Amino acid sequence: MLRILAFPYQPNDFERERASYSYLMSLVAAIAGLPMPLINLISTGVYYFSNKKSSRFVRWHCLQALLSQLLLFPMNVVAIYWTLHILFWDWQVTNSFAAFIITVLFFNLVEFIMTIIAAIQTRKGRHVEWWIFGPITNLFIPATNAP
Amino acid sequence: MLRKAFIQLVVFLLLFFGTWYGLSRIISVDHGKVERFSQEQQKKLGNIILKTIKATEETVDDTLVNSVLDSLLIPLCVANGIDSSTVQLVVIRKDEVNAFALPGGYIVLFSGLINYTNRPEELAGVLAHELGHLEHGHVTQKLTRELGLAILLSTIGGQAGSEVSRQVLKVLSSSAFDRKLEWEADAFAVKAMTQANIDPIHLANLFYRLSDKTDNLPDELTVFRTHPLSLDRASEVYQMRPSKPSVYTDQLLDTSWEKVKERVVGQRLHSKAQGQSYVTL
Repeated sequence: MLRILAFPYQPNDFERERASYSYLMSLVAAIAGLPMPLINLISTGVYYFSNKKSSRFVRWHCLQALLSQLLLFPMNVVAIYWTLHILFWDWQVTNSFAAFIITVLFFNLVEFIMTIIAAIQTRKGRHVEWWIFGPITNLFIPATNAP
Repeated sequence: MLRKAFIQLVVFLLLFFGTWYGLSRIISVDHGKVERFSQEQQKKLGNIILKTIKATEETVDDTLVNSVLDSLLIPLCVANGIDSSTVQLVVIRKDEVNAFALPGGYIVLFSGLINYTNRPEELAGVLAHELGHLEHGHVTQKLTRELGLAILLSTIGGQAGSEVSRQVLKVLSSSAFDRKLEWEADAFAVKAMTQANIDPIHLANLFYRLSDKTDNLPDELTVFRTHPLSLDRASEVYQMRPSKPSVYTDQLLDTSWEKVKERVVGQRLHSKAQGQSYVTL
């Protein structure tokens, strides 16, 4: 699910810090205690666009963090929509709903753990590639030898 | 690279939907909707239990009794959009104040209950209450919770022995539903009676009289009861009764009801029933 590879060049301390923050941006809403997936998506999106002119290492990790939020976003939105309907519009708690919530929580937990690991590793200057998002990020920002 | 990402994405989606599907088969939270039983299966289960009842108890099959009970049941069904042909009443000659519903639309009444009532409207209240349990699916919900789905399905499939049918009968006849389900059935009964122009006060009166016989726990312990007190239910039924006066009609002449009770009990009535056992409805 997660690979630590060698980046074409060794990023400096400033780059490491900025790349690490891209993963922490996705935890903003979780830290604030809000079940609002949109905030995570917006914060990682804003951080990515504000670092578009940064070095490749920073841009690469900002994009990977943003893409991971794009995949989680729809499932979290469905979870909140469904929950609100049960609470306020008299929908029933079904087996399907309970299973969906548990699945979403599980995947969010996995993403949370991977985010923490990625934040720590990038802070150390290591290049972390995730499943799915790593290869897609490479399509937009190829990790070649040129800095 | 794109191919690799695509394959990983497909695997991720399979994992997600597979986990969701797998968990939904394991988790069981929707007790309120036992859609695992089709109407046909419920009818089959009801028939099996009814067969057990008829094998062990004396049933009352009297034309007058049947027509009078139908005259109480049908207006309740018609006024509430229930197909009366899907509900069948069975009277057992047993000196117990009890009634219960079976899956498949059967309502079993004990002669002790009919004899205990002062007026037909009280029995109509009981019928409305049991209709409430049937309409809300409480019966199959209770059986599933207390006996388990596997046992019920094996009973329907004919694989379970007669002992299981007796166990099912025991669960239905000897224990009441929990507070929430009894409240739902009582609320349905009040609504159904009002719709049929029968004063729900008669159901409250019946619960009030029953409370003398059944509510034996000290007051301090009533919060721990899973089943509601008859006195509480009498009070709740009274409060749920519409405040706007409706036009209520008497269902039968008192003399006709006494005749029915005689036929059901099968002997001349005494002024007071003796040695009866009481079960909360």
